[in-house]
Amino acid sequence: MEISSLGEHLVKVKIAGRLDTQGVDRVETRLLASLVPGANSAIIDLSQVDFIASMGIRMLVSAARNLRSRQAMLAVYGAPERVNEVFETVVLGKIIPICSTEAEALAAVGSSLE
Amino acid sequence: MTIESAMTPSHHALRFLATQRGVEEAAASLRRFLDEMGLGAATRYNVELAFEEVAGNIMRHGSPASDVEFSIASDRREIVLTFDDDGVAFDPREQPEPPIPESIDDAVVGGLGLVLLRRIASRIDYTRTAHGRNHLSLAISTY
Repeated sequence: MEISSLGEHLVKVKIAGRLDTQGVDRVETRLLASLVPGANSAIIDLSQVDFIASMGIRMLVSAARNLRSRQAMLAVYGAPERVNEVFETVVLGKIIPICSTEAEALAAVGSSLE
Repeated sequence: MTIESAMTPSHHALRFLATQRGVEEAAASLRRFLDEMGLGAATRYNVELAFEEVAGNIMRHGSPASDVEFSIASDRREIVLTFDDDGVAFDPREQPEPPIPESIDDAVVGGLGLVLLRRIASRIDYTRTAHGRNHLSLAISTY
């Protein structure tokens, strides 16, 4: 997982690999630590995530809820087709903006960066 | 019919401990088997997802489940997965689904695995055996 700053209170996160139970264990602590205490909004690049299960969605929802209480938010983008189908099944789009491109994700978290 | 019954169905069976390590090793073994089956991408995803959700559920909530017997069998129409474990009784057909959230404020973080399982399985059968074991069978249509 790569985390880079895009400005004040805004980070870009790139996750690669599987977001199953094992994959979530690998990234969740660091992901939450990079976002929640600093109230950093995030755009999360999922283009290299080829598998997600309920634990991965749970991690994203949990991060989004933690950010919400700190007036920050996250958006995901670039997920492969199968991963997007899982998002549709659980209606994740009601909770987290699901975007195609980085520019869309930036707009969704309210950034003027392009 | 004769053509299909003459085809040798693919079959794979595993027994694993209901621990994180046990589930991870079983998932890796399953993926190696799936590599040889040559399934379509959508079917393969659904098989892996069903395994992850059921095995993870037994590991997290089945306590004191000790071990799990798993099998996968396929014919041309569907893949059938079975899970047999000695954990607490759990019939996935009888659990309520979480409500669909309208916004992040009423988002729930639990129950999503069950939602996924019901969407991807064309059939779910469950029996609690006289010997106190859960026997779960899931069918996944092939595309």
